[in-house]
Amino acid sequence: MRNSKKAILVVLFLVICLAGNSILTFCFYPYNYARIDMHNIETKAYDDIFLGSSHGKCGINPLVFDSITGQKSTNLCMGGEYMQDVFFLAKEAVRNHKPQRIIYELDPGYWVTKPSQGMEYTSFYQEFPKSLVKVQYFAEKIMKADFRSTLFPWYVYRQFFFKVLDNVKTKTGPVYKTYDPAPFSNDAQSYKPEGFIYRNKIDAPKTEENLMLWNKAQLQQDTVDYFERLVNFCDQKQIELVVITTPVPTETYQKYQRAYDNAHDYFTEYMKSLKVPYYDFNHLPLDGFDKSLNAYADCEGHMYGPTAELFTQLLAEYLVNKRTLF
Amino acid sequence: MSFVATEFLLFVAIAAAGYYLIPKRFQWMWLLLFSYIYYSSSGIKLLFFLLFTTLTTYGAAIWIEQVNQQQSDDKKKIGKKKRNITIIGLLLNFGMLALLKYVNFGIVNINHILHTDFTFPDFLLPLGISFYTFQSMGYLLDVNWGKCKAEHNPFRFALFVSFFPQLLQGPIGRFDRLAHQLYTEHSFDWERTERALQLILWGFFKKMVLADNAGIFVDRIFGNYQTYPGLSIFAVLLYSAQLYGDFSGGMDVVMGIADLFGITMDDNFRRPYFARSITDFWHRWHITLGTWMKDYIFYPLSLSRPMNRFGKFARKRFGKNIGRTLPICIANIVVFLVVGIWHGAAWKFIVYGLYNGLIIAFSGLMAQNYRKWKQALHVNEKANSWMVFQILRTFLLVNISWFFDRANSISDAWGMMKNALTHFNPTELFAIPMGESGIGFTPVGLGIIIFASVILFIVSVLQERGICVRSAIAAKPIVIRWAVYLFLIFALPVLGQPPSATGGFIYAQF
Repeated sequence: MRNSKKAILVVLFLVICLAGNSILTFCFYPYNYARIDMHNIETKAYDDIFLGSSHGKCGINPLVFDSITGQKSTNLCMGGEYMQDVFFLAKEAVRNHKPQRIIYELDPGYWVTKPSQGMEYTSFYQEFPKSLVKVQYFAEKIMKADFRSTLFPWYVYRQFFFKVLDNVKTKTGPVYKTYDPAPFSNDAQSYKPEGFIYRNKIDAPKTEENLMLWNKAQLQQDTVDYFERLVNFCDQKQIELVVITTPVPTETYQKYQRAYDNAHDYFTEYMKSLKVPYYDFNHLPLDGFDKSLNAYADCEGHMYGPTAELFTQLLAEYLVNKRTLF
Repeated sequence: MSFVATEFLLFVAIAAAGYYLIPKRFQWMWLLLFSYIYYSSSGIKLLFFLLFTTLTTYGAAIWIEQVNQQQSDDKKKIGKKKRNITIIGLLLNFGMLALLKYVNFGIVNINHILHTDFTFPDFLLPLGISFYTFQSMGYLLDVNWGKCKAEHNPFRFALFVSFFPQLLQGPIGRFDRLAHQLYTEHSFDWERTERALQLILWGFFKKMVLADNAGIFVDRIFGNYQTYPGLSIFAVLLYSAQLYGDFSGGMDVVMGIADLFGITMDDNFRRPYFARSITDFWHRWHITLGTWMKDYIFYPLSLSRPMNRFGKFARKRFGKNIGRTLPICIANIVVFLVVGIWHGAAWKFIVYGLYNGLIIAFSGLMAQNYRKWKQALHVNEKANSWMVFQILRTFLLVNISWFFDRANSISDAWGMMKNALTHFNPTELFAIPMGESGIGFTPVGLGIIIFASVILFIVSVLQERGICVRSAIAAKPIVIRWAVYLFLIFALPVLGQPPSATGGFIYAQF
């Protein structure tokens, strides 16, 4: 067989693979709220941007925050959003519209664990528009992932074959095109404007199975490096960076007080050395705020909707006061 | 840079494309460059250890050759000098390996026995140090024995030590078979590339579909054997599948990548679970380690003067048969003790090695009796039933050794073996959740393991009958060929486990 014919066959084979893979991605990869979050920062201008973990996602309602600060904010936090993601999300947000302030919700557990290459691993990357930031994100994160995460983004959803029809329906319908958050509402939670997840009170056991406790010996250097890159980036762009830690239930705090206190001591010192304001609400007074487990959906610190809204109000007032002071 | 990372695939693609695009005389330099980029990707500091082995071995080999060329009638003196240089090279390199890998183990044991509190820094173990040290020391011994000439170009020699596909988990290459391939000019070959890609794909299939699925059960049961007392037998059987899928899969990937550059590596596996004895098993499992041990420890030891003297003594004391066999038995025990230590700094690995050595030694001592018993019982050695019996017996003996290899400690291994005899409850398997965050369906996971095992078994049977499956597939019409390739490609994401639920290649930790 001539070489040119062989080359054509190779290309044809690759085309078949790509076509099959694209169909599977379309069918299995679900519509998720990272798409709406990304759409928000691509199309709107914000003064404050929240980045961080699921504690921030379920704990900060930008609309409540804005009602106190009189500014415009959005919540880009997400479960599984590690410092590397935070850094690139900040870069992408700034590429579109430079905010005045970035508020990073710090969960100490995310500094001592490696990200799992599960469903959230590539969520934001998949929704990034084509840009140099995306190329850099790919080179620094996605390229290091298992090749199946990169080449077959649908594969972590393969067990949800029963949702294929729904996925296809959603993606071909108006919901997908209009960034409608309706599919993300269920008994347990609903997606509110500007990226807030409102957790409803339901009768479910309050577990701590995903609780990641601080342990300085397991501090991940990568996370430290990306945080310092974020600090430098904010310095260069003259964006104010504020770091907060949302409160966990008193029961959890008391049970693992040593880990939480050690984390508080470490980050207070560390942020001081970087001249970044740090507010740990496990140690700061929150007047009128119920820190008992009754106000939380689980032991890990995901707040119920009303708790989150009260916390957001107190956070906003606290930050406004701090700004006034300086 | 993990073999399963996207960046590694990209790295290999760029390396292979560039290899055939640049002038052929630069090909080996290109490989050297990529080998060093690969190694330094896991930490630039680790290059020191690789360079240490490269330079000390290179220098010692050149020195031996210079001594060899000296005009002297005193051959004894030259021989002694060569031996001393070799010993220096061996001490430096095995010393480094021992320092990094075994000193802490020694100190922990000393502290335990003497109730002391000695400490030693916990060094980061350089990737692949066991493999490249053994490969380099094999070369040094070959130069000393005159089996091969010393390589004069330090950069070429550096490539022999660092050739990136094999750096992490072998196979342990031999200078006379590997080096000339690395330095020869290669032209692009479609058929060879197709075969190489087939092998890589097959390797990933074994690793991701068989080994990673089995690994979930293995990790859970071996890590909590008291919670799953009825699963000890399943745990060890699944470990058999995991280890074989993982290690031989990894080897297929390594050999496939090497093949992309026109380089054929030595086989490391030949259907080991079809072995009819433990000796046969070690001729089929991790072959390059086995032959290394045979050539550089077994023969030198069994043919050494002290062993000769011991043989004479044993013949006088125990008779001709045992006297002749005993030195070989002792050499075998020593070899497998070293094999055990090579696997890791833990007593369980030493027991694992000794177990294999003692079985082989015992078989050697009993060989004459076995022959007599078989004659007395009219055993037809050519009968299929006898062959199946031998395979099952060997498989059982191998599985006993896996308890020591995989359990967290010797006491855990004993506990599991005890459970294997006293408890049996397969339903406990369904209490083990599969997949990322345990959301997978366990019966499906078990079904995938069975399915992959059956495919592997069929392929192994065909290979055992001398059929080259890859050539057979390549000869099929394009529709069948492509269907097979598409199945293998999409089986990796569909049937494989995500990396968070599993780990990297097991032998990459050595």
